[in-house]
Amino acid sequence: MSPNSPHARGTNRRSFLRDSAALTVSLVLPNIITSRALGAEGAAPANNRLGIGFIGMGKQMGGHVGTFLGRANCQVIAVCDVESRRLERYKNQVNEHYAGKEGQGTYTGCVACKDYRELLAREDIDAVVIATPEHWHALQVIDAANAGKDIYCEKPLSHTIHEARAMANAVRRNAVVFQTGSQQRSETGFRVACELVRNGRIGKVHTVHVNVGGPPEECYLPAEPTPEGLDWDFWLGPAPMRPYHSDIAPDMDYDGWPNWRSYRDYAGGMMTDWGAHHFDIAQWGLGMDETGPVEIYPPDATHERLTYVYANGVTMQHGGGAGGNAGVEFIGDLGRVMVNRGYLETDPAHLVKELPGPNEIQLYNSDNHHDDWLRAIQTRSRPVCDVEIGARTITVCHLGNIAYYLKRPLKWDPANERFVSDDEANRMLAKAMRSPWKLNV
Amino acid sequence: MRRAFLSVWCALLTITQPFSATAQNPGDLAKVEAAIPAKPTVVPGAPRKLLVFTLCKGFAHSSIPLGVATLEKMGLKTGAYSVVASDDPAVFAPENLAQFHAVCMLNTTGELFEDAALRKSLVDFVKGGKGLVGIHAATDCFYDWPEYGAMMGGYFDGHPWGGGDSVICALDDPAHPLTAMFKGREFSITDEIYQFKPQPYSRDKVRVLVSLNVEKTDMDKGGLKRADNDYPISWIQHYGQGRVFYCSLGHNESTYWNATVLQHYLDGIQFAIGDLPADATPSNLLPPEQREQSRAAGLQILVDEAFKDIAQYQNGQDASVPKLIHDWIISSHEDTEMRSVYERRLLAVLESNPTPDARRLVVALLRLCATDEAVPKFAALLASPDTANEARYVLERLDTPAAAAALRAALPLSEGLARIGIINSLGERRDKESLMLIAPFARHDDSALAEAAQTALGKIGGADAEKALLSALAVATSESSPTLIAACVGAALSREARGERAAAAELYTHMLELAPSVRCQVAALQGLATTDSARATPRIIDALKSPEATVQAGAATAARSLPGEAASESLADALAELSAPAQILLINALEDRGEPVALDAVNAAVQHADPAVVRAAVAALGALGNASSVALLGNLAAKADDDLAPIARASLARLRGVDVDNSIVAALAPADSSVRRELVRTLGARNARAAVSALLGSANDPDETVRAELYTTLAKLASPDQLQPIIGMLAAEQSDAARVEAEKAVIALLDRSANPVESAAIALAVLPEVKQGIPGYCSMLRVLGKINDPTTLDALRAATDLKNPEVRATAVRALAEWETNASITDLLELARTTEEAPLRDIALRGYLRMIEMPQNDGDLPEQYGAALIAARTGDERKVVFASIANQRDPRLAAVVLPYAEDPAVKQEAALTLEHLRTASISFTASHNSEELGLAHDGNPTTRWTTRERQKAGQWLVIDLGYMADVSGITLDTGASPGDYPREYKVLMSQDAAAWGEPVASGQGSSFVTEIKFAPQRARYLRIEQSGEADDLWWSIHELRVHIQ
Repeated sequence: MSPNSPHARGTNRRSFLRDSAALTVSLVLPNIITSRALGAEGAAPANNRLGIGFIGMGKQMGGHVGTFLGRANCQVIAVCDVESRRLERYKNQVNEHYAGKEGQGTYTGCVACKDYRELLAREDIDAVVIATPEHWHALQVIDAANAGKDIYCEKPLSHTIHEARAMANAVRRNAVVFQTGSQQRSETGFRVACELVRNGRIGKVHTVHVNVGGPPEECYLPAEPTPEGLDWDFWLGPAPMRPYHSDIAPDMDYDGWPNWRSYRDYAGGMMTDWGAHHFDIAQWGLGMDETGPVEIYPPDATHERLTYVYANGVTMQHGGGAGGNAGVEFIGDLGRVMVNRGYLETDPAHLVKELPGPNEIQLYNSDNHHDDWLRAIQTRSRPVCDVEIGARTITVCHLGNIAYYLKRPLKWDPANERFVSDDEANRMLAKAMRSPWKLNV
Repeated sequence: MRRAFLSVWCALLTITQPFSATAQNPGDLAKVEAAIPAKPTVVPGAPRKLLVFTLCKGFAHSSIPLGVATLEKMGLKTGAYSVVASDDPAVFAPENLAQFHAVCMLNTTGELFEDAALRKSLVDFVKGGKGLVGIHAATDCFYDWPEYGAMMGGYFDGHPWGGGDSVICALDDPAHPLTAMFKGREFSITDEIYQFKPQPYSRDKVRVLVSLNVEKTDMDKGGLKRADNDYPISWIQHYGQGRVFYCSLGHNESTYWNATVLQHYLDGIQFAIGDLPADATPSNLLPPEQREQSRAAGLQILVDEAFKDIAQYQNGQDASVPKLIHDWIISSHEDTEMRSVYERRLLAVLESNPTPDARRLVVALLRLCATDEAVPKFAALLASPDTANEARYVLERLDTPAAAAALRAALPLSEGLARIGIINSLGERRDKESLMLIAPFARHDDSALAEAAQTALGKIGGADAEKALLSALAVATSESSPTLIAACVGAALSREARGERAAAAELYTHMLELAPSVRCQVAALQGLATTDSARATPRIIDALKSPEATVQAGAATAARSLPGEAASESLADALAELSAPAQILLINALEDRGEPVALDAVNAAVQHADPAVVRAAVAALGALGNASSVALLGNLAAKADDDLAPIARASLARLRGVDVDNSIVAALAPADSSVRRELVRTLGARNARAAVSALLGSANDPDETVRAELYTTLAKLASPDQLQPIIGMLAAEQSDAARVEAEKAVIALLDRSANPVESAAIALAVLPEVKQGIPGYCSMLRVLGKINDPTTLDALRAATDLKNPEVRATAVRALAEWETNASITDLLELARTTEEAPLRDIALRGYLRMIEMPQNDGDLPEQYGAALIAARTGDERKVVFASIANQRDPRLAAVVLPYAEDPAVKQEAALTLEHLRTASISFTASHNSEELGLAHDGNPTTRWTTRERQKAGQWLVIDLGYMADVSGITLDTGASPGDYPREYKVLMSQDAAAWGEPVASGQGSSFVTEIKFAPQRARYLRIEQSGEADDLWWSIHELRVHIQ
């Protein structure tokens, strides 16, 4: 029972979803949205729209806010961050957007809160978008699921392997729709590449090369004064206490990507940051979305690079391959498929046109990650990058990080999600959280 | 003599002035001050004097003034010695030297002085029991005085590593007193690293203290000569009664503010002076057991010092010690004894009042490697709010009874966040024995504490925990926190994880019965669906009938989790009883389940009164339907202006089953034309290649729109060996609209075909059979134009003589668009002779297009000259000029010049001439492509260079922009006279793809390299540099290409 390509279908999600207008591509909406209808003055929002809350108003969230403000079937209700300037900025953006639409410039309904639990407690929020640092994802996703919210959570899915499983459990038991932000699953080139591989166009696959950056580091940065308006204790949350440094959590006006991604206490380095994209595609192409590798070798005398081995003998290497443009390169006994954003090449070249028919394997076809999530919310189906997929992919990334850290070969049991006969490696499946934080599942 | 000396001495004092502190960059001096040791390793019994000599006859290091200042300040601050600095050889007069305890040669280069008396004086000074210190270039001097080399211990032989290189230095003798400052650690430094000549340097003579770690240093360097890979950095030896210390570091200014290196200098100087006793037995003469002892003692020092240092570590400092300890912990995985040592050391650090940063690092390491040994220490930290977290970080993940016992023992003693944290940890550990300790808190007034306890109970699970949770659930209200429900789910999940599905189902059923909130009901339903489908199915159907949208939606999700075909059947049976919205949800779920048993129910739903239900059902048919669904979906898809049509079309394309394509083919004949059109299109969407032969049989479909769709589908599915029938269909096609598609199909097949000879034969055989007059004939000519074969070309040539203007135009256009330049002569002839202006224009443009093709090797002035003669009007000439403007051959100016005064094209001619004048050759290269213009800018002071020493793999490609007869190249290295190519080869090409054998090769030998060869026709030239030059780059200041 695997979800197949979605179609315009029936809907159901509170009255928003029951509105038959929501069934067709163009939604029938009130031409004039009054601030009252949008939820100002404590009134309930127009209930034919999906109420959305945003958690973690950093650089990555900017794009999401724009996207959902532009979806007529969605209503942005609230924004949440532990830094007050970000909160203010996004609250103003949302208010100005709706005021502009209304044409009167008085809309002030966007709620701003520091504590995400406050946002989750709101009845008018149906769904949340989470774009906090990795070490927060599990806590917020599980709490959101327990509150019955549908969830779009940025990749990398989790900070540890145990967290990923707990998140999947919470999502399943609460019957919420969950999209992992590994949006390459909604890019045609990647899907076609994986379909070619899955249908044997390159014969039996024996090797995959995945080109992403390396594991995270310890953070040796000194202390800096904590900026005004930032609740640093809350930013750290479950992570160990340490003094603020701007490299970890830069100022709102800093235009680059923040560097918490590089430090072990908050993230998994580029192995998870980009691994959540390219290892994800490798898992898709290999048909391993419900399992994972069984052996992991760090670089050593016999392994030029970090190497995963799947139960069927396929090896997946971190790096290598023909080089050039490929983020992922699949190699089979009859050819190769090389794929990256905006790039798809096969060897032999004609393979790229040999798309599968209906009696072959056709992968879930989504061409827009956000819309796919919204569609799944309507039909209550699993979107293209469901939580289980995100969990299995991020587990691959973490396995690589653990092998890099421990510098020795590991054996993995993907069914029980434990290392085989290795207590020390098993300790690294989870991290104790700073009190009072805990996973609520 | 005495007087003379004094005057020299006065002069000296003046000379030393520039080296004194005031002349230095204050920032650098401050860094030096901060790095200088506070006190001497040995307090001298009496004042000591050090002569620092700095004369340079060769290269003068810019760091000398800072070096002098450093040595002065270090002597002054530590009291180890005082400095007199000089660069006057006269200071070596015996009566002067007598006042000094040691001489330091600081970056002295070249043959410093020849006066034998002065040389003897220095030898006597050392041999007589004084000290000699050498820093960096002290081995790069007095090559003409072998005794100096012997005394210093070696002669410089190049520096493979430059001042910008970072290298790793290893301790040869980690327990030696003169390496104590390195604390047993190898170290990284950015400085120039020397190589030494084979003589006199020898480990038989000197005691090497520090040398390059050749395993960890970049050895891909030019000029490496030591077969033994021995690159010493510092050493000591006895010479006569005297003592010598040499250190090759000291090229870069930054070395003089490296605290560790300064301590090494200081101890070396104190050794040379005689205050710091140290064994100088030559390295190779040390007995093996002494070396082993030194190695072992060095390891001990390394470990002791690292653990001492980490306790004082502060973030922002160099992190090599924390990283080192981290590596030890990781690499000792299998050595339990060593692990235990490290663990105790880490625990000892925690007791030694470490910095907060050190605490954090040590705890992070103990998270991985702690054993029960660590439990008492961390147990003591649990109750205090300040340290409870770090204790939990370790104890929560330490999977031993002792760790659990420590957490349990601390629970009653703790409060606030510490207590919550301990409960969380016990929960994470699934510690059954703590159940009774935690349970009382589950209904505590402090909601944070109560929730922590509830979550922990859920994680621990088991009958007692479930009982406690259910009793809390029984009194919960719909407003209750979701934590309690999540805890119940947690308890059920732990049952599931242990394979106790029945017990889990029991718990879910209780939750369903108690359900204080909709969320509880939804969660319980999901769990029940996966653990007991028989019990779950009727409840899910009930929930689908709920008026509550959230419950309905939850039921739809649960419906997807029910295992087995029987569940699909039961759900399908219930479909008709549901409200329209619930039907839609359930149909979506049945579609995702994909079990055909639901097909009948979904087929029935297609007849539902609510169009939304119908849409969902038609979409679901794509997943659930089979061959029997073809007719229904085909009919729906064919309904124009119906929003069901696109859904039905998508479902048709998705239908699975080996017989579906056959059913579609079978359905074709009896169906209406609109349905036939849909079905044909579907075969294309389905990639139904096996249906091609059946489709070929439908060529006589009476409806032209069906035939058009048929051709579109064939264009996608047919293979090149089906060209014959399809080209036959084109020849027979009577409808203009359909013929357009047929022609596209034929051309698509030709694109995929690799056999133009066969294709030509087929097409030419069909040509006489074309029935449909002029348009059909033109269609076929266009097809011939896509087959690159001499026979088709001939047929097109023949067609240009036919009477019908449309046929002629089509033939001329086909010639003008020919894939190669094979029709270039025909086109010129047509351009010259055709009277109709539009046709002439097509021919002329085709001719120009072929001139511009890369494979054109004709003479450009001649070809364009002919074009200008063929052109009859000013506008036609403008077209020719536009083409010339794409060329770079300077000879074309002569062709354009006659038109410079022609009023009709004057302006275009002038622009073209200007372009030809300014067009220049272009380059690509293996290195620094962005600077290539500098090699051809007429300015001999600017250059292109590799910025890397000469080695194989360097190249430069010149694109002249046109085919020319080239007879030579001049490479001028101008102001970089050494940068001429050591080994070169020149290759030529017409297309930058095929290069052939080199036309010239050789070695450069001076700043101008003249390369001459027999004239050859080419557009591209490639110069490959494959020689090696130790330190020199390959540069070109100006490049000239000689063209005949």
